[in-house]
Amino acid sequence: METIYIENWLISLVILTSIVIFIVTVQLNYTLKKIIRSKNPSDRKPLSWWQTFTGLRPIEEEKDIMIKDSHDGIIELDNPTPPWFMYLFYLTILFGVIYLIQYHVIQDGNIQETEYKNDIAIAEKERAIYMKKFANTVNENNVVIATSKKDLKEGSTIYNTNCVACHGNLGQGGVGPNFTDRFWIHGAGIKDLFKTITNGVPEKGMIAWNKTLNPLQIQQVASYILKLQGTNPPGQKEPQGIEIK
Amino acid sequence: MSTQSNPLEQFYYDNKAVRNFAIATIIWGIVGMLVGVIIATQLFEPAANFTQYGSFGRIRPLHTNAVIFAFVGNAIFAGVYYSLQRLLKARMFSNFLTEFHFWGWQAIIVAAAITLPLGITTSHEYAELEWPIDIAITLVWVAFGINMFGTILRRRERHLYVAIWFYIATFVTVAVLHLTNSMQLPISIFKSYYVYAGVQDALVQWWYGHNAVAFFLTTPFLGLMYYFLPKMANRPVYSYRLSILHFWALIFIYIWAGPHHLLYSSLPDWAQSLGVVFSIMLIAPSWGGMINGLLTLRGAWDQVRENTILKFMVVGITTYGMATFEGPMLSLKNINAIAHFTDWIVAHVHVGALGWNGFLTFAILYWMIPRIFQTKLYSEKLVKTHFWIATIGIAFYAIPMYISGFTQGMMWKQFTAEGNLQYGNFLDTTLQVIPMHQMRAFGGTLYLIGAILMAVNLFKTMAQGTLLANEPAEAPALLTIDEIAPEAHWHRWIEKRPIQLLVASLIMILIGSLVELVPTFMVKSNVPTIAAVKPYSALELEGRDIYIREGCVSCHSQLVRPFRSETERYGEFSKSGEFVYDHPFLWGSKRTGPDLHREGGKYPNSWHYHHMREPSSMSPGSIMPAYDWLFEQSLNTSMTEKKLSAMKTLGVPYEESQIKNAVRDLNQQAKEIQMQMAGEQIKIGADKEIIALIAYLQRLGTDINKKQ
Repeated sequence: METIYIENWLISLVILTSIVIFIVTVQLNYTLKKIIRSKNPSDRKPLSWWQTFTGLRPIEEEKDIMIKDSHDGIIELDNPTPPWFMYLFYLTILFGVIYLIQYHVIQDGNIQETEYKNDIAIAEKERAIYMKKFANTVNENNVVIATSKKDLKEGSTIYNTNCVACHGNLGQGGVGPNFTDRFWIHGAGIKDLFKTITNGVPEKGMIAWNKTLNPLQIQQVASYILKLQGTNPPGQKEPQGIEIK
Repeated sequence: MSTQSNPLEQFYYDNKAVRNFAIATIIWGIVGMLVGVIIATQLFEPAANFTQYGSFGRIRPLHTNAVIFAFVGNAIFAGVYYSLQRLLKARMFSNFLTEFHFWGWQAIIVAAAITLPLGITTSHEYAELEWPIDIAITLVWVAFGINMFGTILRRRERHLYVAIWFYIATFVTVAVLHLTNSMQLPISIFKSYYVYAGVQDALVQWWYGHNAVAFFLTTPFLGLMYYFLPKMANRPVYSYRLSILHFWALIFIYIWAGPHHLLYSSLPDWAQSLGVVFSIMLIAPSWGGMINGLLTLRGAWDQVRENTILKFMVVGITTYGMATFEGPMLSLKNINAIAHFTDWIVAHVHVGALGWNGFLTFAILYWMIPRIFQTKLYSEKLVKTHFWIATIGIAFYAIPMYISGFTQGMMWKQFTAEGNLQYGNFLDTTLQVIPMHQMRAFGGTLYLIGAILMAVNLFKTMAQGTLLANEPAEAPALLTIDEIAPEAHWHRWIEKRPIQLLVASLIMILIGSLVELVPTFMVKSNVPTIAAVKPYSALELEGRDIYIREGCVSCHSQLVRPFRSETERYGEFSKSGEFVYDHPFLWGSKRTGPDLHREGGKYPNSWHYHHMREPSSMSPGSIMPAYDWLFEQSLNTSMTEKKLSAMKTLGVPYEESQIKNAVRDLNQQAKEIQMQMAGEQIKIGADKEIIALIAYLQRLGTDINKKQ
């Protein structure tokens, strides 16, 4: 998942508080009723905890609470609003108040942009840690051309997702240079290519891919690109750089 | 309690109106559900898009309008006409208004059924009908209001029963919503532009859209429940005090919750937060209705076992409780972040529509029709079959859609360890849920079959009975307020005063409306301007109107939310200042396909050309229909100048010269696109509609990157 939402702890807090308030209120209500009832022995038989909580009276007492007016034969009972229902209502109101105070009084109310920036920061940190793990396996000094079928297939997938827009689906070039001729601008070997992909050539519009691809993937895509040489696809871009045999 | 009573008066209930509305309910219900099954099929089988008049984008609003306003609308009127007369002990105020209301409403539905497939739409969801029909709706609604209030004023029952409070609140709120959300500047009889733009238009629309659910699908049905449920079960209503509390709390709180449809959008944070907290506070008031309904059945549960009509009521009320709990949960931002734009929302609304509105309507029809036709139901067994088939239908509809929504929401957000999107190709997420869409269509078909069984049963029932068109009744004349003894409960005061009740309801719903709408319109900081954002060119504006006509907004949002998963996929998140010239806004509410706000410049013109002609050629497996007609039809430029000029009236800063040369500029830009594509061996006339659409798509979301 992409985010640890700030709401998570707030909601937990609200729920926790709510439960505490809820239990206290129910208990208080129950105790109070017991006290009142004990002073008034003529009252009906004591209600169970469940009956108090739900506000349900025994159905036999229904006739005592009928409102005399009838509407086309429909009679209404003068039952109280169920206590649990009222607690629920109060709790949701409390939630609303806390929510608004939390985000718009304590914090500055710029909720979603802050959240977005935090997200990006967390993701970048995680990516850096992940990339570091691979730093020791392959680097620009020890990289060799990958030859296994699996690596080249991976390389082709990476190429098709990330490179085609500028270098063409067959490596024929476009915005970026042609990969199929023998001309290279930033060096021809796997090590040079690895370096170029990793760090990019920002002044010419080549992105540094070290934020998106791990070194292993860069090795794979570089190996795939080197395979394109001499394929002679249609619509090639004019040669750029120095011819290297 | 009365201290005295007047002599009995004789009068007649109008059952003919009830029958007419009931028949309309049955017929339109089947039509609406049938269109639903068709569009559900189109979502896994693009070949089911027949011609431009039957393409998903155009008939999806036909389904929603038919179900909401034709099926549920007529059901409301049938139930209200039946219960209102009996609760007030009076005949409907005016036979003429009753006829006008009935035929007027049906004419509006027919007009909708004709105009929507033609692509005549405003694009505001559930308010797609163009301005002449909007005016007709206003007239018919006012006729209904006068008829209802006339009846109330001539009543023989002093106290207004809770059902009538709900009817009154429904009437007044729907009037306010409809008028506010229909503010359009007409260009021609079939075309208009909303006076609001961008964020403001979005807020008005979802304030309307949300409260259409509240005051068209909820409050009138609560009113109906309060009349029909105690009648059906022959039980007293559980709690008078609960009905008072939940009525006022519901109408007051509901109106605030609209912004929950716009969470993580460019709507200012404060408005979003109001949407969140009022949605949460809505749980109890909504449940008040469910509790009062279910507890009314206390001591009648043995009847429920025997009586299928009560079964329909119980399931209907229970799904209401489920949907009104789920709604607030979906309004929490962390849940909304996953659910919004997915099938989850579709599941949610259908639990409400199929369960609550559908089942209550079925129950009421089954109960009412034998009574006004003085007979018994043709077949109890068919009712039972209907109940089970419809219940299974809901399950088959909702469960796959929940799975689908959750799956898609999670897939959109899934990153790989390298920090790339796991499903960078949006289509992967669409294809993943296709089996769920197939099951949903099956569920919908079951539900439709159930409705057809009901139609057969009810028409047979009508045939075997005779309509008691004018049912004799008697009641003592109304006592004046002075003649009545003072009441114990304070609320009794307003129950005797319908006008005051109307005004109080109006005030209740205006508070939330004004607090949210006024600052969004008046406070400038709510929509920070972006200097680089410029009005659309004439060709782009025409392209935008094609986008609206084809209902692209049904499947494509234009709103990149501020999530890493979205900025990674689409580009920079959407800013409110980018939409200031969008009359109307086109943010959408569902992503069957990807977001398009940053579509401009993403692909070459030729990609769009091929993609619109044969979507699967560019995106293998795509379920998007082909739009062949855009390649054959010539763009109608007779209105272009008028359109620009109308936009200028609405505050879009077009120069006079731009308006005067609109068609010339349009042709020139079209020519450029044509020439550019000719370089890629594409032969197409510069006057074709596709050129305008491409121009619009290529402009989308690009202004923000322009250097000043």
